[in-house]
Amino acid sequence: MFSKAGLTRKILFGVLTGCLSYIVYYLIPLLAIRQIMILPVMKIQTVLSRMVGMELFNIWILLSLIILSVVTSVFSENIVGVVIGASIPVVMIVYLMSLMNFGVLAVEYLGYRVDIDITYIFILLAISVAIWSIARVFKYVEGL
Amino acid sequence: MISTTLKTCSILLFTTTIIVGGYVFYSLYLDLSSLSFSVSSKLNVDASSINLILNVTYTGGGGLRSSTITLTAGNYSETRILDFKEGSIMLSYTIPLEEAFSSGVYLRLSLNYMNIVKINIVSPKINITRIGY
Repeated sequence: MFSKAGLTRKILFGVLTGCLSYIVYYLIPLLAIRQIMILPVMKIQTVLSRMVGMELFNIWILLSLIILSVVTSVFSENIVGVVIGASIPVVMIVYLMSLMNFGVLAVEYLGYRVDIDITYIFILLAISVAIWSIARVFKYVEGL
Repeated sequence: MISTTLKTCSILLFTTTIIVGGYVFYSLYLDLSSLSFSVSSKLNVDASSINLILNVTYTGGGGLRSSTITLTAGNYSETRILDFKEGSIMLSYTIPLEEAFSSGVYLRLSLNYMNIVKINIVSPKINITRIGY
């Protein structure tokens, strides 16, 4: 099905994409929330606050993302790979949006409540990710 | 062909959003850093209402548009527009006594930045209690 070199290239590409996904979808949000939560009296009312206690290096999340990316990369010319590859960005952007309460970050500090609404930015990012996923499906259809 | 066009559109939209978002947040950070408020208040109570006069002075916030300050007490709510070029505003609120006693009073400051980022700051609730009834 694949040459040895081709398979190795696809696996390496998958591992690299998995590591990149780990940085983008896990490490950056975690570091960002730790920066925001500098003041111990501050409360953040989002799902993101549950992540504060998590470790920076989480082997299970990293492995899951690498395996998903390797599967997507190896089966990129197959309908399975196309479906997984097109779904991952959509799932991840929904996950990121849910972490941020779908664009409204609520912070409580000394009795004051601060709501920061960045819904428009999130909507534009979600649209660009959706277009990317549609493009992957079109690429597969064009190659048939 | 369609896939390439879609991918190009996606990358352009993503990059533009990140650049614009970054610029907005950087400008917002600069504007909010320079923004400062000082509030002095005067309270008059008569038989049926409380008259609250707030003198709000502020500096900075050049990029903030259509920002408002709202006083809420139960069903009573009144919103005033802040003009950041003016530098100060005298706000007078007449709150019905029952609303003030039953629900407490709080202030909400709504800041709108370039119509992209909206920030609401709500003060802690000020409870007003009846004594001697």
